[in-house]
Amino acid sequence: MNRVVLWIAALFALACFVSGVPQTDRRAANLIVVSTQPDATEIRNRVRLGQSFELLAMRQSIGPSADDGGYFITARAGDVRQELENALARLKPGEVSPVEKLGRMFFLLRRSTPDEDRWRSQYYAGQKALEEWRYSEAVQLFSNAAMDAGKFKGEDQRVALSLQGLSRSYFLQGDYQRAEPVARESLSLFEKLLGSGHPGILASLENLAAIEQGGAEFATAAQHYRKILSTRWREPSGSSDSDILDLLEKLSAVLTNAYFRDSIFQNAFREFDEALALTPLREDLYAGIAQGLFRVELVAEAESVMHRGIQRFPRSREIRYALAKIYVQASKYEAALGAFETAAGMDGPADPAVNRQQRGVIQERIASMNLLLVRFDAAAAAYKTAIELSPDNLKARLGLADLYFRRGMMKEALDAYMSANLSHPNNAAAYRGLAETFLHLERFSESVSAAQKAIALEPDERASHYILSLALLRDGHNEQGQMALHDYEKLEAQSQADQKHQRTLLELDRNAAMKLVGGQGEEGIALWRKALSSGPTATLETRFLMNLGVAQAKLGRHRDAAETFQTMIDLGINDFLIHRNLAVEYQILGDSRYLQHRASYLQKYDAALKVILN
Amino acid sequence: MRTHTIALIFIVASAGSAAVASVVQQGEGVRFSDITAKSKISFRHENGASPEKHLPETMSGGVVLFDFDNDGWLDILFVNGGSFVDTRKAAGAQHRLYRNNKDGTFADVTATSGITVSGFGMGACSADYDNDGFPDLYITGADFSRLYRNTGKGSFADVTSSAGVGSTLWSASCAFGDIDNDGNVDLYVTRYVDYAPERNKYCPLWTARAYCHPNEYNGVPDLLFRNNGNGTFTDISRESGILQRPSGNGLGVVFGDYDNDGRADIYVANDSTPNFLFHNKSGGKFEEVGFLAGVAMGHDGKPQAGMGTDMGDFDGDGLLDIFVTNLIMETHTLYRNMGKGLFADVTFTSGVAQATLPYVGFGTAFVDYDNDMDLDLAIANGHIIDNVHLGRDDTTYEQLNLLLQNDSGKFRNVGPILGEGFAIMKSSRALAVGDLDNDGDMDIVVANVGQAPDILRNDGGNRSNSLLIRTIGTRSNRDGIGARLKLSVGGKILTRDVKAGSGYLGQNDLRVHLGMARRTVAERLEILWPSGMVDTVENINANQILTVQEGKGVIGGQPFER
Repeated sequence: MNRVVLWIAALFALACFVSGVPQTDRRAANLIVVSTQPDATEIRNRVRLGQSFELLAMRQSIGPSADDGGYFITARAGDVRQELENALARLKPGEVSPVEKLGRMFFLLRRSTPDEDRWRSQYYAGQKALEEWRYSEAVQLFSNAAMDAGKFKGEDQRVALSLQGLSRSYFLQGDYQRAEPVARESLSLFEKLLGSGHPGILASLENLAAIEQGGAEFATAAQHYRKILSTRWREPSGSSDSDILDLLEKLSAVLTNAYFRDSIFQNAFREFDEALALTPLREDLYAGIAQGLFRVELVAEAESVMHRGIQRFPRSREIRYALAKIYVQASKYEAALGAFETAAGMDGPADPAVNRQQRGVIQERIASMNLLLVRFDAAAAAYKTAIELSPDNLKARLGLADLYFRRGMMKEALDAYMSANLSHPNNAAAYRGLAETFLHLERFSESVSAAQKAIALEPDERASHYILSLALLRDGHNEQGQMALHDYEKLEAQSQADQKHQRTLLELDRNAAMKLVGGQGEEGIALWRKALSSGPTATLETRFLMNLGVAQAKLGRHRDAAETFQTMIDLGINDFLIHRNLAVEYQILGDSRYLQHRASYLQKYDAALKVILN
Repeated sequence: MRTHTIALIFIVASAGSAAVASVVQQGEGVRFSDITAKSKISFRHENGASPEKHLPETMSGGVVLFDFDNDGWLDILFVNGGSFVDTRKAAGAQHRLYRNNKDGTFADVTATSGITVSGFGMGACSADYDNDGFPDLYITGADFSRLYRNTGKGSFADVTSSAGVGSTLWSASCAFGDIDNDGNVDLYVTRYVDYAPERNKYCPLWTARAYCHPNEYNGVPDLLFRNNGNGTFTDISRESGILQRPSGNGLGVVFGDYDNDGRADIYVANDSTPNFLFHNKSGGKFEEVGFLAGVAMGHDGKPQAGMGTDMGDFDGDGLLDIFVTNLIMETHTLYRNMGKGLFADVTFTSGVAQATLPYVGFGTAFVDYDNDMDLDLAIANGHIIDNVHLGRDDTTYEQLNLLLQNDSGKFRNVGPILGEGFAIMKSSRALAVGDLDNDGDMDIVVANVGQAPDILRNDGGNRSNSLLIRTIGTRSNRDGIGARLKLSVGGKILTRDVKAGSGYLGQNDLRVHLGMARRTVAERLEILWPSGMVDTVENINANQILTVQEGKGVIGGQPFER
């Protein structure tokens, strides 16, 4: 549940972009949202004293597009919430609104001036040109934007933004010599305006680091990536840059060695755990780290991280929800139910619409846990509540239908599947549910029809083929039924064969690891090579190569290990851990490429954390 | 089919049992008492549980109810396991034969039984394969199977080699049935996977080791032995057609004529692979029709864990239905016979789903525990993974057993009101039903893995009336296995078959039990013998054990012990 995404969804019914909207209907403004009225009043006073509204938005707003100075455009009624609409309507260009209420929050608006709108046009046009690979044009547009921005009063981040765009354009043209100084200037301006630890400088840092990396200045790029990691993931009031970097590094060591559970792993985990106890994290990072641990089957450890998060943020609904998800993945449904229920009882986002949607999602999860625990009455109640809260919640609708089906309430199941189908007409699961329910009601021709629709949407889903064949046979269409059965049996046989193959390979992997831990490293290596030559899926290939590389490293075969990790990168497997491991091996071998991979490791670590949390 | 109608025969029952009070509501007040201690049965299953997690350790534990000494009272054989790591335990893991003392206790007669320890035992089934009047035994195991011929002198002789029915791979359940109606029972043996101690795999449960899923191994083909009638068998597995599908991981088997064509069909429950329904085409040939019939998979088209199985007519339409026990969250599955070779999965509409979702089921039997004429379901449950608590919090290794009462085709678990017998939480495996005390209601014996069994006496079921029918074939096989009994009573026709082997690793009382509710007289009993002969008996008084011989009708009767 990404808070920023939900905010944007809640506040803006329709996003309007410059290019598509008639000039006369278009109004642009900047928005600052804060939690308390005193905060809002203080900001308004600072604006009146001449500080940049956009800069204050970047520094302090918790509203949408804060990173972009809170900028937004509206073209027609209904684009934004009524409170914003009303406030905007009363403003002339350049004017600032009084402090007003928005749900439980407070906001300020400033209507853009024509000059500011012109700057925006150029800036967005520059961005569009970049997206469309029109780099020369982008250079021109950002240069003009920078000049226009320079005319605004006082210190203004729009100069920095323009320069950032310009440097990026040079970079994409391959002109690192021009790109780098411009990027440095942009960053310097941002740091001056926002402070060197402010998240608002991250885009600029990323830009500079990428340019340095492109220009083979790996050492400085790595420094900047470290800065990005610490700025983005540090808990502002708690940990230092070095603390968070140290913790993340220790986490990498744990993840690398998790599969083998040997003494190296034990030490790595102990060090990580000690660092975690001393390092306050950002609220969402607990979930990110826990997910990372869970993925390498460190279930108890993942839970432990989440419990630390709960200690730090006892009132955080997000953390409870994340813990519940870990429990679900670990098949601990009672514990998951408890955590979801706790999350449901906690305060959510200030915006009522967002809060309602969140509550709907949580109720659906509560219902599904109750269903798994065979508490059907509780499940039914929770599904109904989820649907009331969020009528678009397809999972809740399908869940309720499934519940009725499991209780043998076929008419109710039918109604519920039809309702799901109505709200989501192209959903295979709804058709499949209908098909199965019709089958149980012995309405075979309707079952056939629904099953066929499900198959049209998901041709390889076996259950639909199975239901279709049963329905056809019972409806007296023997030949068609036999054909459908044949299709199903083919899919089933293929699935069984795939699963068997996968199990065989996983067994090789396990045996290889046991050989390594048992002191028969070379035999383990041979098993991994065998597994790799047996046609694994892409996921398994990644796993086997990683394990092989780590095993080679453990056996002191660093050249082989480096070759293995390099192979992974050449195959396009670009996980941050691979770059880390390769950097370690190159460093041991005295190969200067370790700097390049060290930089890549840090860059991709940041990206990986963002992906996990999104 | 010749019909041999027997003239009206009145069997006069003793005064004490002739007219049972009929004021009691069906099933009300029935309890199952745990009489294990009182029974003097001291058997304890040895499963040799080890850190290496050899798969047979968690799958074993069979029980057979049979009258080995022909005294009219059910005796009990418990199949023991053994150990793959401790030779002393392995040597001491003796199967145990208990003779019924007729007073609620049993005597351990193993020492003189001739049944020896050999390998890691799984299950057993019993039938008079040589038609000499004494039931014989087939015992399966993880690395052996043995046929024991009953000498008629209270002991058994190992005739595996001479009979030609040995198996060195992992055998599980077995069942006897006459596939060609030649009067000699044939033998079906399910076989599981190609596990061997030296090929034991490591299967993780997070960071611990656990028992492997059977799909970590390869399935092994089942066996079908045709009885040659001279003390030997011929392996007709391939030519019979039972190998036409890829090997399943066979665990449960039951014979039953599901299409009422007079030929015994076979249903096999396979673990995590499609179940088999072998349609008997005559001449010892079978066609596998599980998918066509709709009994191969779960409702979602996925194979289920298929452990134990039974066939019975739960809805009273004269057609045999099928029940299979499965894993937690799969539901145990009930297939209703629609006729014309098709089945409907009525697991959800019947209430079976809701009652069985949280359980891992093994042994099972259709049984009319309360004598109300409807077939109920008894189910033995218990998880496979003894350290499951490390990975899940919604289940336990030890689980409650279930008794699903059938109320006009709707099932609900009545275990909680049946007393101590259904409050026991163990990891159960085989379950066998039979009238141990000959009092007219069906008792239950549960074999538990690595623990003592539970002997559950039915108290109160006989407040409603019933009949117990023992069949003796003359042209048909001696036990009458495969005979179809139809009892017309109170406007209903109860259809029951004589079965030798069903459930999981076990066998029920060969005598056919028929509840009669408040009726004191059944209008008519029809017996369709495997030979084709039909015997009819009319106006049968309730509450007695009848012996019916092919071609002669009722040749004996004794009132229930009350």
